[in-house]
Amino acid sequence: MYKLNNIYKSYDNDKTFVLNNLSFEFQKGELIAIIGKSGSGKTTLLKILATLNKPTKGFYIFDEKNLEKLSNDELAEFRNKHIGIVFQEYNLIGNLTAEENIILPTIFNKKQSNNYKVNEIAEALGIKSLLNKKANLLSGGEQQRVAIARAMINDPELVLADEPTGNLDNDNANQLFAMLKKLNNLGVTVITVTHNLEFAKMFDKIYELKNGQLGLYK
Amino acid sequence: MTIFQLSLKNISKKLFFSLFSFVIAGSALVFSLFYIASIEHSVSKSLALSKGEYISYVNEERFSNIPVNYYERFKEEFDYVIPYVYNTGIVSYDYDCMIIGTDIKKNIIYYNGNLYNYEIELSEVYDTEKPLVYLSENLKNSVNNNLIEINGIEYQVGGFIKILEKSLNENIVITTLDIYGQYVDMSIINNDSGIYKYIIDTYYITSNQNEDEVINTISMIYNAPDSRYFVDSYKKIFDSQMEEFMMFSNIPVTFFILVSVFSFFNIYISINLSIAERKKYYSILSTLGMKLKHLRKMIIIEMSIISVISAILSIFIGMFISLIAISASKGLTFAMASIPKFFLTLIAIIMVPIILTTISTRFIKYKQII
Repeated sequence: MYKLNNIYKSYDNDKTFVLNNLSFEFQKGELIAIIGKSGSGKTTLLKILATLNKPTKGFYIFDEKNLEKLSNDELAEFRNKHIGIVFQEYNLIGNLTAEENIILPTIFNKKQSNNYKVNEIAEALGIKSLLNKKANLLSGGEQQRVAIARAMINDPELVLADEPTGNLDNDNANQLFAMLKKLNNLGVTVITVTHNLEFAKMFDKIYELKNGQLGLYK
Repeated sequence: MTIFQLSLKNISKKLFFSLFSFVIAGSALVFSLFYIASIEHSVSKSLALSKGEYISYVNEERFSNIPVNYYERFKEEFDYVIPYVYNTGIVSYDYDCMIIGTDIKKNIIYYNGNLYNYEIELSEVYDTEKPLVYLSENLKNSVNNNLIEINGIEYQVGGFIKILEKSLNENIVITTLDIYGQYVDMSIINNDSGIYKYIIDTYYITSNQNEDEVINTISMIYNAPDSRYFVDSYKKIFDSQMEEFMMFSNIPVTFFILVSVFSFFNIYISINLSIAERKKYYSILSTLGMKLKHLRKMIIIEMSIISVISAILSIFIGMFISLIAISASKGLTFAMASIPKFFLTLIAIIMVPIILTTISTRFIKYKQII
């Protein structure tokens, strides 16, 4: 079980709150889309879920572990082991190859990546032929697949995607969903934040972020 | 891929700002290393004593009542001993000269702080009844029928001294201790303590023992607490000669320390600039699980590579400047620094920036990358 409990987030010394007493609970293996207008705090929420941001108030329970007291280094280690993140801009390192980008998370833990695993993931995502290509030479769709492969390399329990369809056409968006669904079928919890309602409708559950609070989308 | 490989692929150009100051500091240190090595080489070549040679100058008159023949004791303790006693004289009521009593067969004069090797060109001896002396060649004109008068006493001239390698322009007369004691200065033959012995001014000694052992042995011979003050060694005269250069040798070291201190700020600023420049890169790595210790490690690896590059540049630039400066200095010849000193310098040039970087990285905060 994952739980955000009475989360507040303010960037201006508690004058205004992007997230305002937000509580959110989800189970392992869920496939969730969070929608909301621009500026509604979707990315802030995703960053809190990803442990990249700490809430101003409230706490985050991840599989019965309260993350509130963890230091930045402990959170980095936790993130590395348990969470995979796919960014809208993909955030690949341009001068590294696709393969080097995929194995990047493994260099910060004691687990060594093996070629078999990289090939397996690349095969599943259809990017095996791109492994030796520099990331900055890949197309948007290819970069996104590499970013997904990178998010998967450490076998995370939770994969978070920030506006993953932002730079994709409909075909690529459908393919992306298929990949995320495949991941979800393997037992990985998948949460995406998007403003693309059509894309969100493919997910099992849709939540809407409105006035700093999260509710089921009807 | 490892953190090391990742660092190699992404060295920040901003960190190269530090290279300049490292190279200046490193070149100064290398320059001082070779310059001092060349000065040491030149000084050691000009010294009276070489390694393993010692001069002991004790006033043995102080020990005349002690029944020890010190000359014999020196011969027992050391591989090679030459005694010297000195007196001034007047040749033919006209020229001043220095009369030296010694072991003539050893062919070394210690005079006026210098050692002179010599050969004797033997003359024909006409009258064996007269005491025998040997003269420096500049007294040739004072010799008449192979006889010479010194301090009113007539001596038979056994030959002329030919100084090897160096020149000696003084009027020198050398003779055996026996003749010196009988004709020049009888006070060197003494039996106050009940034994017959010479009272020697100075000994030249060679020994395979190290300096401390030699000093201890001489102290033991004289039963004196510390003979260090009346024994000259290669190291002692070398150190005293080098003293005047020490000020000079300290300048580059001080400069290195100063530049290193300023380099700390330079490194600190360079690291912060490099982090600011690559905030997105570090931010991505942070989302993937990079801890501060990983970030520090990456920066230290990058700076280590820059340190090695600067060390190589420093060696070439420092050696080049030394070569030019030494060639322009009169009396100096270029000498290689000793291998341990060279490696010590190399380690300093490489390690100081790495240590400074390690300290600087302690100030990196998470908020700089997230």
